[in-house]
Amino acid sequence: MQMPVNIDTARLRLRPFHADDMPSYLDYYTSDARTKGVGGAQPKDVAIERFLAMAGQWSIRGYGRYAITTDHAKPAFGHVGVLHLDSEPEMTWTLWDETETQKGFATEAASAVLEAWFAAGAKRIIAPISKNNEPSINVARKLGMEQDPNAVAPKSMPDGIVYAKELPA
Amino acid sequence: MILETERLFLRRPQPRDQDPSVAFFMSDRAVGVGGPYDLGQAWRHFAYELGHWEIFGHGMWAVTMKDDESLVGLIGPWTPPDWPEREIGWMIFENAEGKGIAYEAANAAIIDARTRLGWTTMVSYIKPDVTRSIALAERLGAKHDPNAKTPGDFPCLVYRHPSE
Repeated sequence: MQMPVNIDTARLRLRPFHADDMPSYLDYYTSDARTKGVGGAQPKDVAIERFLAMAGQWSIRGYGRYAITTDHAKPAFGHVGVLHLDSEPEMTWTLWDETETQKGFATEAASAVLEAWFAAGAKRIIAPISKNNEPSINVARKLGMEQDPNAVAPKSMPDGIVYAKELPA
Repeated sequence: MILETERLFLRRPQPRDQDPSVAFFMSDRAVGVGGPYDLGQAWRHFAYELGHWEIFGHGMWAVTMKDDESLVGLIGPWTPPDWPEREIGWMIFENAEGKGIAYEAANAAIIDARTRLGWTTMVSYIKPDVTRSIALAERLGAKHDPNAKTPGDFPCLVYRHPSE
């Protein structure tokens, strides 16, 4: 399955990651401020691995996470898209930069990716979300995702609840 | 971009290298690179290998036998931005054992890093108890550099490769 590597929305440019995006990602992932909902801050070497693995997943799966920016000339301030390691594909959205929150960017970006995901032929996607992560739960609801009581959150997220969206049969 | 030695091809890793690579990361052989890992971590490590190429334009080479194209290791440049220096790393799969293949591949990777990538110096970070890796570094002409900084906070020895 292949998703487009670039997606434009009204305000956002979703594109492949560059080396220039890494400093902001590492700041985000190594600080407590914005990582509470995703298992907390990580050491720098783990954050680097995660960043490069996001870029690398595309070659393996033909889909993955996008860098979020408003302008192609600027580094990214978040990521959005499909994480798919060995288990079920997960929809993810994260704004690394606090100053870019509260603008509806996560919903706008994730909504465009979901549309492309189903257009590419996928039937279902889940989003495990920490039960205290209210902003993210709101995004999931706006995306039309519903709680799936049968799905189990990953062990890295013990307080997670799983939202899911399926293509109508 | 392909490097060729007497018995080997070295090329950019591809999705089809996934199964043997994941199997390596989950095996006891991965102890030198922080493993063994569970399936999810092993999968992410393989994605990390591909992403390294994607972002930096270089990375460890997938080393294959010329005769049957089997993957025998991942060997070559490794440059995460928090490491003090550029590394030549090696992950040698079981089917390459005892044939001098790792030496042949690492040597080609080092020459390419020097000539094409323009690296004037490079090291290999080796856990002190991984004696076979130390033997390989020495065979490649690398010398233990006790003054060099090490990455992260795990104990390792720094072997510096000759500059030419």
